[in-house]
Amino acid sequence: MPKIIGIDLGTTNSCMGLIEDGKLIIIPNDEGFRTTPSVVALTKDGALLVGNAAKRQQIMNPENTIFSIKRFMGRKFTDKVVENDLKLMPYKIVPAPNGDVRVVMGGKIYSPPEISALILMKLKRDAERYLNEPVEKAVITVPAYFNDSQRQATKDAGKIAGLDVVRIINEPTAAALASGFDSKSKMKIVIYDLGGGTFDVSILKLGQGIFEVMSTSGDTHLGGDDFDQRIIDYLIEEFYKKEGIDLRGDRVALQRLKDAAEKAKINLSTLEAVEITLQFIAVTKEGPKHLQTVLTREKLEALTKDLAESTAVPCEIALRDAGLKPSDIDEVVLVGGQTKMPLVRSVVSRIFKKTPYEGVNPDEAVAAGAAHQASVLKGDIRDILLLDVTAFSLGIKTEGGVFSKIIEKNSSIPTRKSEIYTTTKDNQSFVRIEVYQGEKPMAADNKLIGTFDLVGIPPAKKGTPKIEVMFDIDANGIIKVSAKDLMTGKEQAIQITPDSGLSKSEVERMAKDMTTEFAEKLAKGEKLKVQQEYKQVEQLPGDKDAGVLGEVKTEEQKKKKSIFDIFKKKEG
Amino acid sequence: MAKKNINYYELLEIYPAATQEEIENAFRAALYKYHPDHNPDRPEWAHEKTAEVVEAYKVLSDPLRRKIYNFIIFASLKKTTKEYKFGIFQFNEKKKFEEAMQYFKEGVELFDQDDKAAALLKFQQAFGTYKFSEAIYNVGVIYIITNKLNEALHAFKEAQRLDPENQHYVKVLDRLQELMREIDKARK
Repeated sequence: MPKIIGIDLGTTNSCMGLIEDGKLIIIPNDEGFRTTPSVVALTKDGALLVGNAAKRQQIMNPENTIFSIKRFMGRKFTDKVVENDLKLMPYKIVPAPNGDVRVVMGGKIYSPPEISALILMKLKRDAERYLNEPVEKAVITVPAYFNDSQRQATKDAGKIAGLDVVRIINEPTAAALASGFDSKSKMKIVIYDLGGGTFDVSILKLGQGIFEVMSTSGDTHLGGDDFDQRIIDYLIEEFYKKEGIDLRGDRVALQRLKDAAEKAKINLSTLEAVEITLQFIAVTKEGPKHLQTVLTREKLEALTKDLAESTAVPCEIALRDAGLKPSDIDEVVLVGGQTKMPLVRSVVSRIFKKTPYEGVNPDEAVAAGAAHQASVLKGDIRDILLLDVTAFSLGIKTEGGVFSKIIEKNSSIPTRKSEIYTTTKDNQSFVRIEVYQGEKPMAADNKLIGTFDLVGIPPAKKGTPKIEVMFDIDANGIIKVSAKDLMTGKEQAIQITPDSGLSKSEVERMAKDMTTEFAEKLAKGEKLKVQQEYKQVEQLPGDKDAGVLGEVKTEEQKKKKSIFDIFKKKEG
Repeated sequence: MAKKNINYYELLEIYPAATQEEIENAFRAALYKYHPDHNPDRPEWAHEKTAEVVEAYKVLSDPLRRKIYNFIIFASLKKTTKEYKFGIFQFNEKKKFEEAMQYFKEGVELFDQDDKAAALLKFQQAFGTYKFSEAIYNVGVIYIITNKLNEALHAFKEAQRLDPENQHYVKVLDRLQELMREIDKARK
């Protein structure tokens, strides 16, 4: 039976897992790392780089290196959060004709699902090499707080990459599956997931093999990136005070700052102070300027205290929605790289009045959970079951623009609710239903998912047609709307106009491009990478062209040679 | 609210008198049986069934919603007694079931004829400890939800008459009367 892998498609890093013979394997990438940076780049000579290779050249090529694409999945260009990111990203962001976000790489416009697909494709290839067999199916994780558009975009990314996404599961829920708690014993756990770009908190009830999510809350635009940004802003401010030079306009400088900020932040989780040195960060008439400063943990905590504190509100909402007090919670599990920060840990301890559980690897837990779920779907694991919830209320716009809820947030999924609609005019042939997700009382303040027109209603007096509209949220958290004419019992035709996202034909075209154009560029990138590595490892005597290498001596080199040969064959 | 043709007790395969723990166990067993993860060959069916199971659990695990649900199916029983075989009246002994069914039918008739006290007696016989005042109160709640305030007022008055000691009924009745006065004033 073909394997199904679990993929944590993260904002900053991605990770893959698989359960084989009951054992969890974290699948390393082709460089042997257990996580892969979610970074995609196009070099000047048209080679496509993904992962570590893309990240390594980021400083030299900031305009054409796309990172944190997850922040833009399923988002509108006019979203407030996007507006804010516009100023921070060294790459160009533009609106699509339908208002969605697009990014520019190498002068060409890409949708966020396409960029994500490139990451997925790289992961797929690496997994295939590692497992030595084709990988076609995957379980992909998303933040629990992803709405329908963001989930659709993730599913589209899978399709574009040639992956059958058999299930989308929520990251905190996945982490719970991997937490190692015995689901047979009754307990209540909190998953606090602060990743690179998103924050999720979920409360689960365990018992009799079922992981039942009681409530979930979060912020899709709060994560490690924001902590980095605080450091960057501080460094820029300090440099400006000292040298009178504003580094904000310099994309290369910004990228170097981002790199340095992230490293400093990570080191400050264990050290009390770090030195940040960036040589030649700016050039003036008087000559080059260097940035040199010391950042203490204390200062970092002062800079980011409000960010860490802001996670308390979603935690309190989740507790309230689950009808629980902190004392009802048995364990608090931390997931996501940002939870390694001592400040975050202390905030969590204070909110839940409990020391967080230590037994989970915050970088790999989500991928491990996705692998568990893949195993359940394959039928290998039969004694656990996930019952997740929808993080948002689903409803429709009614008279006066009022939002009328049909499915309440924190409802277990899959779920189905139906409503009966009729006409308000004689011989009315269609009824429009606008579907929204959110909690605000006015529809316009929530997220429009799509417009559903019940069309071809047979002519009748007003109020006589009876059309039952079914609102479904499936186990992936994806919405489906269907309708039935109760008078005739026939399926009622619906015209669906999604507010955002790619059309079916767009996805198909992109998937095709992926196998032709992108595969070529990617192969070029891989070749480039392999060449670079060859140069780094060893230049064999008398052989300058890496493409016609003669004998290889070490096992390591043999492996690289064979990888290289794959691409040669494909091209030929 | 309650869906047509689905009896939550039957769906979860439990007796109407099931305890909270029994309901929870039944819910988990039903999830194992119906969830799409365990039925990859028929995802549509699994989705639909699981959605029903989830809804059934949501209603039956909440004491108030369970009472309202119970009353809805009791009240709708009158219309469907013919097709209605087991379910809410699933007693351990068949003979008792027939007996209870007879009491219940008579109770519904009396209730419709406005002979509440006699109806109460019949219902009590049917359900043992079932409190008619509670049932009437629950009907009132349903009327409020469906915006039929006059009917709700009638139901709450009845509940209070049957159980004068219950302070909650007094409070609810007062609040409703106040609300109706306000609405009247606004109309004028």
